[in-house]
Amino acid sequence: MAMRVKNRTLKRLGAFAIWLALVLVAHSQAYASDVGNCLLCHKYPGLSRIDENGKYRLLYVSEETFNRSIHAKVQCEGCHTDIKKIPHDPAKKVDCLTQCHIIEPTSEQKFSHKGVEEFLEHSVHGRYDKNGNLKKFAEDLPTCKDCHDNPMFRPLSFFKRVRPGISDAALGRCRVCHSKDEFIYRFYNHVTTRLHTTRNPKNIAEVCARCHDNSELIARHGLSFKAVATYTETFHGKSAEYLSERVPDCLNCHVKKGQSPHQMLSYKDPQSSTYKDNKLAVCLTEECHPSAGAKLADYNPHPNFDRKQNPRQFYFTAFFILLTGGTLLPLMLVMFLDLLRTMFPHASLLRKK
Amino acid sequence: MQTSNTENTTMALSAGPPDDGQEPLYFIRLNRSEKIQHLLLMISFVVLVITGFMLKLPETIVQKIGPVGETLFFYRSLLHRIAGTVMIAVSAYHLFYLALYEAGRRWLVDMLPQFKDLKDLIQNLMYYVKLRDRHPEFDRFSYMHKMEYWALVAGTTLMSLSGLLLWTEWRWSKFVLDVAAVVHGMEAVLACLAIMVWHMYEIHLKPHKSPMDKVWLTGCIDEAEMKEEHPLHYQKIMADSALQHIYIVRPPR
Repeated sequence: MAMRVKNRTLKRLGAFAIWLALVLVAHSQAYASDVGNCLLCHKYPGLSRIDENGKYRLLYVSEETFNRSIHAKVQCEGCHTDIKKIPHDPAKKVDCLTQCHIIEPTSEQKFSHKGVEEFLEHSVHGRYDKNGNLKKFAEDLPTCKDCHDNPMFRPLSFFKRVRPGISDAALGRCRVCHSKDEFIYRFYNHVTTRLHTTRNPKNIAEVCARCHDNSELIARHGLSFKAVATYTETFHGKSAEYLSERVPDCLNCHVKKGQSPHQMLSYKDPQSSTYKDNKLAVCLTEECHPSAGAKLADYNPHPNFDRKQNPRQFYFTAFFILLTGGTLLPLMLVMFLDLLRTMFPHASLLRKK
Repeated sequence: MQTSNTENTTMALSAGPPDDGQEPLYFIRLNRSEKIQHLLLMISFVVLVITGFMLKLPETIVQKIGPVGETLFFYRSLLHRIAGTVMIAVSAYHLFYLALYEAGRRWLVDMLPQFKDLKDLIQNLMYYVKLRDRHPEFDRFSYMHKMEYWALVAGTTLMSLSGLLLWTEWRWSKFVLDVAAVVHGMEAVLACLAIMVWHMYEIHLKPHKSPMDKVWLTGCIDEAEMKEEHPLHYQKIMADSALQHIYIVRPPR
């Protein structure tokens, strides 16, 4: 019995020693944003569990990746506000509209994404209609995390030409006044990431496709076509597929220039950039087709060749398919017969009679 | 029966004017202008097919090309327009040739569909399924040649028109462009398949033409082939010294 107690004590002591060692090692490596020392556990790649719904949850946080993300300076507790102690209970889902520990420098208030909510609620994606009633199937409409993850910095280089990446020449100019490299990198990343989109056109289209290419959602919300699949049929979409950054993505046309991308409006709304009278202005911008004629507004950025929406294309395509099949199949039959006749010249149905 | 039929043909043919000496005779099928027209058409066609169908490549494949892709596709679009211009120019020249040259006018007259072509088609089909022992005798152009030629004329007209419309897209309404885009794409598939299936068989795969019918290079065929494939034309030539002057060549010594 005494032996058993001793064994148990020893095991506990050992476990404590390992924990202590881990804490010390981990603490020495922890970044400033990990004040709560969450990475003590979450730095292990295998950290995972099966939750109550039987879903596999990976709880690993890659410190290296996180530090390259836009939220690197935000403490874990800044978003995971319900975690007060370690070890903690299953954490709630993060609410992006919460006030985090960052101080917004222009207002010197605690920072929050709360303002976005208003834009979103007034957009076509808002859950309430003009009269303040909950829309039909409001649960389908996107909230922050349906479109956003924790985005990575995507700096822009301006040295000689504009492209994604970091310009060492620019960093050199920063170093003239600023000595802290960590600050220089972060500030450069922070500013230049915002000078273009955090995602390239292909990625943006993929985000929209999650709902707008989902046949079930399209049918339920009375939309007329798969937005991204049809976009991919156009030159814009093709170039986007080729990872070009110079073509318009969903946001370039569906958001009025200079406004929040969250303020997307229905094409039926006269305020919308895609309203029939406003469409041309979208195409004629300095970056796109500045010298194009008025007919460009006729351009269909979402061509869909089904019978209902584009009967012309549908019937022309059907005609050509019939023509092609109707020409080539008999032709191939004739060729086959010709070949047979050439290979077996002496055979004859007549002679056999 | 087949043998006797062949003998009949041969006897009928030998009734033509006697050829001088033992020299082999060659018959012109394509004159120099026609050979050059065919060559330009062929080159522009191949370039158009390659640069056109590059647009149908799955994006994932093009992505693998890497950053060169953008340059490549810039030249793709340039080359497609150059080749299109060449094809339209050759076609326009061909119309000019048909109208203004003696040889062109002969070509046009010989190419016009006749009732005999329908008869030939039916008889040839009967021959294929062995309901007849001999295939019908063809003149300068058989019904197959005529079908392919007029299909080419129709196809080139459609492709040129729709291509020019797409090239000058800012001038046209959505209706015109929608139709032009569909026609250009679908007719391209049809033309390409026709060439790959039909022309490939007639020129390369047909047992006695394989590996390649060289008439597009030499412009002429020998007497045996002429008697077999164009017996009516052969008879006409042998009976008319003016035609002999046009169609018969003797190889240089």
